Amino acid sequence: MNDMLLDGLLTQWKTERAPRPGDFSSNASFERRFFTAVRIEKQKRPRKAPRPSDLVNLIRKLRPAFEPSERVCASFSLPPAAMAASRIHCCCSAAPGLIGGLFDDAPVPGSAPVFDTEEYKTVGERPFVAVTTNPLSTFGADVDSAMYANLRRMVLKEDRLPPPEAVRLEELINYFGYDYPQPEGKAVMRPHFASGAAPWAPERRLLLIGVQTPVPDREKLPASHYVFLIDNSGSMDDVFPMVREAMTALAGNLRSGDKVSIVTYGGDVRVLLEGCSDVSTVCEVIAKLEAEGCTPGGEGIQKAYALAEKHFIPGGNNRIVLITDGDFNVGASSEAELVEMVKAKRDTGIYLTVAGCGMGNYKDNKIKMLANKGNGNAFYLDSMREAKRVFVHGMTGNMYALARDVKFQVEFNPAQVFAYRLLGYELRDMTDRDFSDDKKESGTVGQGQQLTALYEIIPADAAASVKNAAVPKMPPLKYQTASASGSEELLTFRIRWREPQGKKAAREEAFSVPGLPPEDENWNWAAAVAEAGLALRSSAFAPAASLKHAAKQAQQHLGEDPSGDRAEFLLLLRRAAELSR
Amino acid sequence: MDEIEMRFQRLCREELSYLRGGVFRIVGNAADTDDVIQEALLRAFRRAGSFRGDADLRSWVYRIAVNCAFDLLRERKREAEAGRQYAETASEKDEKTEKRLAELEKAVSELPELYREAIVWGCLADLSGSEAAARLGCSENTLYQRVFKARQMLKKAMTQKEVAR
Repeated sequence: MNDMLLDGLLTQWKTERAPRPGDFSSNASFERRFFTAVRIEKQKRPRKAPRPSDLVNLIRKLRPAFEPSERVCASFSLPPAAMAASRIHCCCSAAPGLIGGLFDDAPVPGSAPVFDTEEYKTVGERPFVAVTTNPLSTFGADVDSAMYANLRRMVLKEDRLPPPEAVRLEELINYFGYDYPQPEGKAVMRPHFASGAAPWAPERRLLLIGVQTPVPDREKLPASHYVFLIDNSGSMDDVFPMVREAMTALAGNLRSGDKVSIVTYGGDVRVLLEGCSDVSTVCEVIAKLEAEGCTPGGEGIQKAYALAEKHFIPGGNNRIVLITDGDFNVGASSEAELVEMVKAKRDTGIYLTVAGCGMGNYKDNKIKMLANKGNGNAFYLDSMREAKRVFVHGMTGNMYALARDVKFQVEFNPAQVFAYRLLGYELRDMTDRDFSDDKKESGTVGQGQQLTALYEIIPADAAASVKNAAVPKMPPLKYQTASASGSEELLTFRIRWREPQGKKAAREEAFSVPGLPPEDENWNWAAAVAEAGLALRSSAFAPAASLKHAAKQAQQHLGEDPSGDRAEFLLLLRRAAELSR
Repeated sequence: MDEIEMRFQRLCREELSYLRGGVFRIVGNAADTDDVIQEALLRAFRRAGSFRGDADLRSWVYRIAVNCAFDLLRERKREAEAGRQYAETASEKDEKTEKRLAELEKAVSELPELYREAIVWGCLADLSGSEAAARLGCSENTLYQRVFKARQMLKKAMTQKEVAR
């Protein structure tokens, strides 16, 4: 490529792709359209600028422990959890400087804080744990990626940083595809290990554990019955076109023998389609969907389970796909009741996939909890692209279960590792003895899926140099010696799971890792994502983590990126880095 | 109409046709072009209080418009070129040039923000060098330097693609 050729191409671009005179509507009509949009924007934006007294009352209600005199000062430095509790995280996390403005009587122009009603379950960070006292680390499988799409919406569409508690590391890491080796023979899962120096603290090691399940042959998959449970309440109005598209895309992928039922709940619960296997009828019904009314969510879910049971395919894939913004505001909507019902159905072999959508009303915690209790997974649909990713490209993994109650346990060798910290998976926390207790439920893994977990570890030989890391001090144990000392093994990784259906006993497999595994491209990418996640969470354990550095690393290790997901993440990181300045 | 809205009205009247010229060459049809520009203006409107002056606001809109345009391009990548309605030109379409042009477009979309906007407003839109520089809030000289650097990056990227082929 030389200058002349480049010049030629640029000129060609400029001349051939110029707009023609008649292409555009008049300037005046553009202006009219724009100012209509501005009016709408103005109506929905500032809502109500809260007065200082409102905020103080709010905090008083939520944090009864505060002394009256402390209230206002304390609110300048509330911990993130309290910020979340008082639901003012939007303005607090996006621009810490604004908080002061809240307490002036006159609202700062252009910075009126927006109270949003999005809810996130607050998850604290896991601390470092010393191997001598706690050699076992146990967690449940979780391959949801709802949070990532939500993050993308906030950063790229709404120009704001997410509240730290909305960032879930395991979901961020698991959003991306990795190049793990396939399981051999009849193996159900195959682990892959890699490690390197943690980018935010080079004296610590970052250990990657990736698990791959076999990619299925689409033709050999069991028949499916999907019950679409669609929230068509008024709050879903904006996203309905996308919902329609997503479902049409999925309907196009049905195979003979597959069946579809559609239930909507808006003004009332309605069954639009029951056990239908004709794709064109399905598409017709989908095309007519419209948003209306308010939301008796509980009733809709009951109806969906009733249909799923009625048309149950023995040995098949029986699944309810709930599409909602989670705003169950009428009827049996207390969280506890819903969860109890969904939980009671988990042994029937009916799975629940929850796809969240919508803005402002989005109830992340409710959606995630429902999916977790219903043996399923949760997604957030923020765009047509994401909807297709979930319903079409990721259909085998997302819709066909391979194993349930999947649990992982890592046993570290104290001779090699001084302390460790699992990144993310806070909502899937388990005690060590739950691992072998089959009554304790856990997440589901689908076919052709991948699962990635990251540990930050402090090697035994580096223990002295990281005394100040947040490893809780324990008295030296008198009777326990590092029994495996002398052994070169780093750790043993155990997987335990049950068949997707039936009551058969769980199976367990163990893999030992001889020493610190080398870095690879999977690790490089995961490390960049983890650093970004820690920076977004303002992690206390990684103050050096920076979005800028993460973006640089991510750029270097984009790899082939056939889906474009990684490139998009890079864009998101750069934007987030700008916003955080 | 308040003071801020007046500012936006002025901006629309003075800049719309230039904005359309640049964005159209990226997204390829009038409807998407107007959507992109409206989105950019709305984003600016949301933070209207934080701009120092009209020039500041204007450069921001020019910058965001390019970002929005390439975002849109990326979103519909999968749906191929369905959205494009460029005029058929008399010159015969030879496949090799078409392919090169597509590669160039991709290379431009991958440039860092600063250089990408220099190429779009400095080379592709209907603005002279000094006009473009004023809109991007930099000196003409700086703009030329950025265009120069951008061209080097483009050449490099295109050469790599040629080698890969």
